[in-house]
Amino acid sequence: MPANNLIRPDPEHTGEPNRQCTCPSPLGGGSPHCDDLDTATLQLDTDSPTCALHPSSMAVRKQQAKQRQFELLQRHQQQLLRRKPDPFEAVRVLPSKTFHLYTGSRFQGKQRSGSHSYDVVVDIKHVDLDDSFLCGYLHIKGLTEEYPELTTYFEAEIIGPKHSFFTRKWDADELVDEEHWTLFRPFECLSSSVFYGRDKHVDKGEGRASKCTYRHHYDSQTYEHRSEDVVFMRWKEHFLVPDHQVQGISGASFAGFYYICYSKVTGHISGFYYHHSSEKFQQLLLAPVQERSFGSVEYR
Amino acid sequence: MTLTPHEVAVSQLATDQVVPLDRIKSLRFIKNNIIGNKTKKDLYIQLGIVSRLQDIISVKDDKDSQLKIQAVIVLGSFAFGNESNILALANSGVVEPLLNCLNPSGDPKLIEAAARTLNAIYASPKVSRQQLFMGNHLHVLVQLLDTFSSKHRPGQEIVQVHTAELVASILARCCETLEQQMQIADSGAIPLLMRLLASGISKSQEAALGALAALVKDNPELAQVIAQMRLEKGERPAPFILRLVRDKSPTMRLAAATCLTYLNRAGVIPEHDGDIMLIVLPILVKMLQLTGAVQETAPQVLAHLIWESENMQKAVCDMEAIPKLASIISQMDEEDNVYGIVGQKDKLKENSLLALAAISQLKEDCRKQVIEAKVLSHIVSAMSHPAVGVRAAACQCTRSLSRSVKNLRTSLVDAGIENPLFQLLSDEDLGVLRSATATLCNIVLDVSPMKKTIMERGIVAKFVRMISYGDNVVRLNTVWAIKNLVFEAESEVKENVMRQFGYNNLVLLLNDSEPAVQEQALNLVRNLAHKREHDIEQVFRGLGNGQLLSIIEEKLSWDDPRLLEHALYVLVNIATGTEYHKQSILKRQGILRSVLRSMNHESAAIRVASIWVIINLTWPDDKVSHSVHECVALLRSMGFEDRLLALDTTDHDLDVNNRVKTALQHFLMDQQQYGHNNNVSGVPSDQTGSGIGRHGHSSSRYPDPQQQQDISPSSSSSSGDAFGGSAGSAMDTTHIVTGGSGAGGHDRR
Repeated sequence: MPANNLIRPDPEHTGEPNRQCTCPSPLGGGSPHCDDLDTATLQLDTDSPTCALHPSSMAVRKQQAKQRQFELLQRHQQQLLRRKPDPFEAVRVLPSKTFHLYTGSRFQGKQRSGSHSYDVVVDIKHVDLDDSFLCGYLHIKGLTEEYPELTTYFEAEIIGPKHSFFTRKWDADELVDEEHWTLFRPFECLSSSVFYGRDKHVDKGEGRASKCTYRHHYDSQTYEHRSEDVVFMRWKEHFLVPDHQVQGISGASFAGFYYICYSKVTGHISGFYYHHSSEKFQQLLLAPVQERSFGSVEYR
Repeated sequence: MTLTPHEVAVSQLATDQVVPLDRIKSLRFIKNNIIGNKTKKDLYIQLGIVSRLQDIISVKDDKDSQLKIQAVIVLGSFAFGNESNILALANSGVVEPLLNCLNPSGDPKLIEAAARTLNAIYASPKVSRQQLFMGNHLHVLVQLLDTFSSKHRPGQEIVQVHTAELVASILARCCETLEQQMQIADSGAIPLLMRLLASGISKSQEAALGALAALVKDNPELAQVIAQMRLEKGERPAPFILRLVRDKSPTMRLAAATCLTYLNRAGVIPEHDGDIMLIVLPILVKMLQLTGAVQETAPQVLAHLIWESENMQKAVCDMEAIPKLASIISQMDEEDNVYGIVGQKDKLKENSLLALAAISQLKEDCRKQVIEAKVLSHIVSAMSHPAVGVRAAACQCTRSLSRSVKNLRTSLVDAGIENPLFQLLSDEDLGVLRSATATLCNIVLDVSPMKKTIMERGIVAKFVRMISYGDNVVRLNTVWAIKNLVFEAESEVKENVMRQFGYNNLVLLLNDSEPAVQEQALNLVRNLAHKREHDIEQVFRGLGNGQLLSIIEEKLSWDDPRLLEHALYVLVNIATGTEYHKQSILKRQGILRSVLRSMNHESAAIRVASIWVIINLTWPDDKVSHSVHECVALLRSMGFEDRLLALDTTDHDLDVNNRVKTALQHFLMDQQQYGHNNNVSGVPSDQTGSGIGRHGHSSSRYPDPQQQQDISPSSSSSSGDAFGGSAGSAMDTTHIVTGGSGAGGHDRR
């Protein structure tokens, strides 16, 4: 059957050989656009008139497709009824996607250490917002001669229901936490509630720490990263990529961790590296690499 | 030639022997000889005793039940604890006469003996259950559960109770399929089992729990029926069983926990979620330290209970179940090495592996604990275990553990799972094949160093065979693996995969009878058409332009949100392609309408996806700015801009809101460049607002109205015809389409 049969009104079916179907179509009326370039369109045809004047019209085909789907669904449901569910069928972990944080997203920028500045690229590899978790690769260029490009695997603790602002490990006590979190401007409004409780006994204009006689612990129950414009995290590097068994690298270390602040709106990430014996406040500044195309993967 | 006493005994069983007393004597002699003696059992079977016994129990004469009873007991003795003997009995046809012995008017002792022997025979899952469900047998059997019936005979109460317990056990063993469950339920067994459950006799209660558990296992319908019943005092079964779960007998505790587990998984006792977590879970974990049958079954029940629940997995983790399971598995490996006894505790190993798979399925913290328990090497060696159940369970473990970038990059590579896994992809057992293909999905992810090596071994060539294997799960796993494999892959990899796999196979999967397979196939198309124009073009060529978009159009009209989301993202990705690719979307009014409809979908993720389609279609591009304008005009005429403006004020999802702003920006840019003159006539719009209203709305939205005076597009001649005119000819249309294609530097011919 020539492709044209699908495209022109078929006089046999309409019974009105001279009557043109005049349904409007996006690229002009009269007759639909022909896609004669493609012979594979014979089975599952291409565009056709949007009026119901002839059998290959969109309306009829849609109806048929709907019917087919309905039957398929019914058959499927019957099958489900007849067979018992497998109790050990893998439970799906649907990948999380929020703004620029999703499997496959990438950020680019720099890390500043004293007068030096290094190019950094971050690839996000997995995001599980339910578990307040994400992980990825951190590529840094020019850090040492041995490794002109160094890649590490890192895991993030997203501050929220599961992880508090208080680190309580990795040699970071509350003072260290405060020292770093308060470097982020978006943290300002959280600072007093996280470190000094919610009561407003501290005057905004004055030094808060000196005025405060006791500390309240921040109630993590009230803080949920999903409803925030800004997401705070801790990024901890674990091993080198590709060879995870490489132990020390001379001239570089990833023993510390980053305090991270990510803005959903701008996509920017800023961070400060902390390790008790490293130079303080090495800053990470990243911007998202604009993506308009999205693949997707899922664990099985 | 002298006969051995055994031969004499067998010969005396012949029915033509007139003195029944001799026959009973012989039977007693044989019984005493074979108890616990496998060699003697084998000897008698070789002497052809089974058919003699069968003759005796098949006699229709009920006058002398003693002989029959003894024969039935001897048969039971053969069946006990030896599967090959069971099969020998079943194959020689003893099941039917044994079922006939259950006749309720007969001697209660004979009924009890027959039930006991049948129970021993049905211990083997290999024995056909068919006869039980034929004729009147099931009905007769179920009536024997009724120890309170008026038919009961004085002095026989204990026998009747024992019989009822045995019958409950038989029912539990003959309750595998959905049909069997339903037939047993229809036979009226459930109320009688409830009475047995409330009888207060421990053994009876245990037996009733076993049968009830078998009835509700993976059967939400029956679970609902049973959960809603009332015991004699008006109590529901679940709280009653919860008391039994604290019984002093471990077997009772296990039976009760099993029953509650199945009720819980069926979702019919939500009011007891807390009890399950606080009472049943710790009891099951403690059972791991017992021995024998309870220890063997407990991990399987545990796996069943926690399989879908993150919270329970976490709780079990906190109860230190992982080290316990790990030591069970590693100790067994050591014993195997020392004594060379493989196969004795296969079930315990299988169930323990399954429990580990369950615990580590959803939580990264739990996976970490499994790795730290140093059990991975044992899991990997179990992948090559002779027992299929162990192999499948080990694979389930690696599947759970491989749901982690970290494990994929480190421990799983170090433990060398790749070799055994590759072997298992050719396994003959369906269960193994299913779990191996599931694990494969994670092993071929881009973060896995094993991806490259497993591809070099020719995994792609196996895919075609795997989808034609004829099993839904294997097919689903295969297409899942392919889509994971091509994610973010180089163009050459994608082309290589599709050359071997074939687009014709992809089309079959896109129209598969299983919606889950369709979803993954659509996801595969999405990943194939991801990132590069070249890749998009390959999909266009592979599937054929018309076919690709027809498939997408069809999937968009489904109500399944997962199909919808992937279909939308296929469009998002195609819309980053050449002008030709974009035009092929724009030509499809059906697709555009579906996109427009999806912008109001209840799922924010789908709204975001549909807006991305618009963002990409209207993406400002210097090279082809004119065709972008045509596209904007078309979309505007169909009401997209209005829909976006409405979302801008009503949609409070942050992600949606940001995307809406980007899309509106594109419309604004177009308006600033060309003015807002495409108040086209004749183009259908499912918006109710008129062009004027729209205009007014827009100007209040947009801060910069200075360019709003009508500036006619410089080349309005063709665009006006193409997008606005209703009387254009087919020639014109074709011209525009190919023109658009040319403008994008793309030549299809």
